[in-house]
Amino acid sequence: MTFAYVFQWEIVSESAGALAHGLRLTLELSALAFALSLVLGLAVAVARLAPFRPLNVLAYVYTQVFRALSLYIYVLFIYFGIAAIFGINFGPFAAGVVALTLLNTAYMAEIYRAALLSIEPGQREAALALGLPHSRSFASVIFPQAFRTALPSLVNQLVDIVKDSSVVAVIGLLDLMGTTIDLVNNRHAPFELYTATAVTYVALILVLSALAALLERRLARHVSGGSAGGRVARLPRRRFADHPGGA
Amino acid sequence: MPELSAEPEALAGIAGGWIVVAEGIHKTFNRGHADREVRVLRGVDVSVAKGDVLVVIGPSGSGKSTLLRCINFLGPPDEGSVTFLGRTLTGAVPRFRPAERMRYERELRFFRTHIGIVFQHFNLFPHMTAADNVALGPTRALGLSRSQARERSVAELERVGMGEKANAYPSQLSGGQKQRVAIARALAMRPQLMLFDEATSALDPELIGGILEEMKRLAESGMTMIVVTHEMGFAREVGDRVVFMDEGRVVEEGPARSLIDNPQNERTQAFLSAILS
Amino acid sequence: MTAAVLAYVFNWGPVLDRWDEFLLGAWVDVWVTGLSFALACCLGLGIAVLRLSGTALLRWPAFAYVQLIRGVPLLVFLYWVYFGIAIVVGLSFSPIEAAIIVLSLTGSAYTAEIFRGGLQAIDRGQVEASRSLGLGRIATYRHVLLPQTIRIVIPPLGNTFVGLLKGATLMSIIAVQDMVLVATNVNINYFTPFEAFTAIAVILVALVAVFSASVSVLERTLRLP
Repeated sequence: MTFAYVFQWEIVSESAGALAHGLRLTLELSALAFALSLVLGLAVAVARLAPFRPLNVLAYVYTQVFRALSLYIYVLFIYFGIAAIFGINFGPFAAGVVALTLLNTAYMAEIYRAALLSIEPGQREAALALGLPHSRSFASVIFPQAFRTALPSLVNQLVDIVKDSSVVAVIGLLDLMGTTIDLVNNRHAPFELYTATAVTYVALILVLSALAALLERRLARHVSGGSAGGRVARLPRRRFADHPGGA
Repeated sequence: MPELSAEPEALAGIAGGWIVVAEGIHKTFNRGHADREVRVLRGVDVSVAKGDVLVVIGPSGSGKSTLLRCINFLGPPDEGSVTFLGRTLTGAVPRFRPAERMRYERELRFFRTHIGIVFQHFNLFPHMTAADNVALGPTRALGLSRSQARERSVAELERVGMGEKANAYPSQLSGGQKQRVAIARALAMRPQLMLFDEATSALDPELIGGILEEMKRLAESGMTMIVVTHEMGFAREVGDRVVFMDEGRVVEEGPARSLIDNPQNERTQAFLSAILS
Repeated sequence: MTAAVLAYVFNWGPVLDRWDEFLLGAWVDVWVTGLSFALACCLGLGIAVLRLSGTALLRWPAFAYVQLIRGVPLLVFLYWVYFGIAIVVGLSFSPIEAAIIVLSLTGSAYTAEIFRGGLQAIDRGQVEASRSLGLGRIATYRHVLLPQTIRIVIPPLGNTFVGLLKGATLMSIIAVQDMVLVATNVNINYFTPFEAFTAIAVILVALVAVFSASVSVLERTLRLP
């Protein structure tokens, strides 16, 4: 058997501009979804721990159900289903942001919850003893500690968001993956182009993972001082997640 | 399994002689990492005659446990050799020569199957019952049938007074009971030499006596033993010879009673007076 | 807005009429995931053993493999194998073969890390005890290390399975006849996107719930006294 395939790597370099543009869109999409789920995730976590039973149940159901769905199903559901019902015409970008946010809010709520639960009760008691009202003691004592604990895991979530965001290409968003699909259709060099894109994603993921690891080490160093009881709990390392993301 | 039984000429060679001779044993941990290198053993020679009990004493970190692991090659020595029942093995593994490697592995298996060891922390297999713990070696390394191994396992457990706990899991046993099972597990291999690595150090004080009693009975039955221990009463009463180790070397060696009652080296004196006071 | 809501007429008929097609599609997702998961476990175990090897020449490639595979998004991997590799090697995979290859390889990177963690969690004394009884390397893995590792790794492996199941829903993009494709076709033919995609969302949530419950049962069954 002769090995007939002639590699055309020059197509990749010729497409660098378009790919870079796609990469920017991937980063924008991921960053936006990350920021939104960072806020909403906290809200859901607080709802789960709030002293109001129906709210707890609602938040619990949300985290359980919404973590069970794949990003692809979210995308289809929002881009086609919700859009049809409410007559809203989502662009692929908006649909992608909503889908990624809904999924990752559920994940982040779990991270926040674990972090909040890891704060010793003594911290809250100390804050209340100082006469701080509940909301202030949460904002200035509990949350800052919990956030530090949660931060490395939250940044790891960004890794999953970036990977998952590639799915939005399916509904025509010209992110890194979407641009690549487009290029393949025009230039007929699937191996070269998909390899280039895969390598780009790997590089991006490795950088973000390294960032999360660095952050974790930094925080561990900063918080290890403090009072005797002020040892900040660390969540179990999630540097090696045990599932391939929401896909 | 003919290759596993001691060859006749080897046995003739050791008749009245040594069961095990370890010569010039060197061992360094973290070798090659200059800053973390620890020279644990620096040229140790020990030997035990058939039926004798050699007690190894010394401060912690003196290399006693490491020495035991060199003798059964759980942690092979960097330098030096061990001759057991007339067969000599060194720590140099013939990594890239398949034929020699296979021969080496066979020798290694001979050592491991004929030398029993009892650990400080028992190291029982938590996912197996006491009986299965004891039967594992006989079935998997000696090739006994399941029923033969089971029979032998129950017999060994009964011998150490654990017959009733044959079907218990390690988590359901006390420390003393665990160590009895561990002893039974080692004896089920019908070893020619038993190593005890601080077998009573992890036990509650009230359980130590029972295990020492078990070890004494074993010694009286004629078993050849090397015992690492801090129990000087046991060393004096049951030991035939005592070796005092410090900083990876044998500092003093002699008959048990005279060495413990009348140590010559001043480091031995300091150690004994500290431990006996 | 209210007018817009009313403009959409719910029509569950097409979905309910095709319940059997949906379930058949779901079955494709399940068996592809199951097979890929089994392959991923075998491969992952091998990689984990390599990662724990004393030889750097074995350790490093295994480490690189894990890092590399986990950095590639599933969809990119799927396209790379289905369109890219096929054209280079000159043999074309069927869509389902491509999906199984991608899910197995992706899964193996995750299971490798899980097995590595599980094996490392076991006390070194266990290996010493086993070797001291004359068991070889393989027998030690088989009778001493793996039975203990299994109990540690079941919960995280369950997460991997769910992750692969969710990943499997991407197969329809390369035209595997799974439940997502059934839903997409229903939507195209009857324009009932909400109903069609709700159906597969419900099926997926149910599958995950049933699977999670089975994992808990398995965990309890294997728990030692």
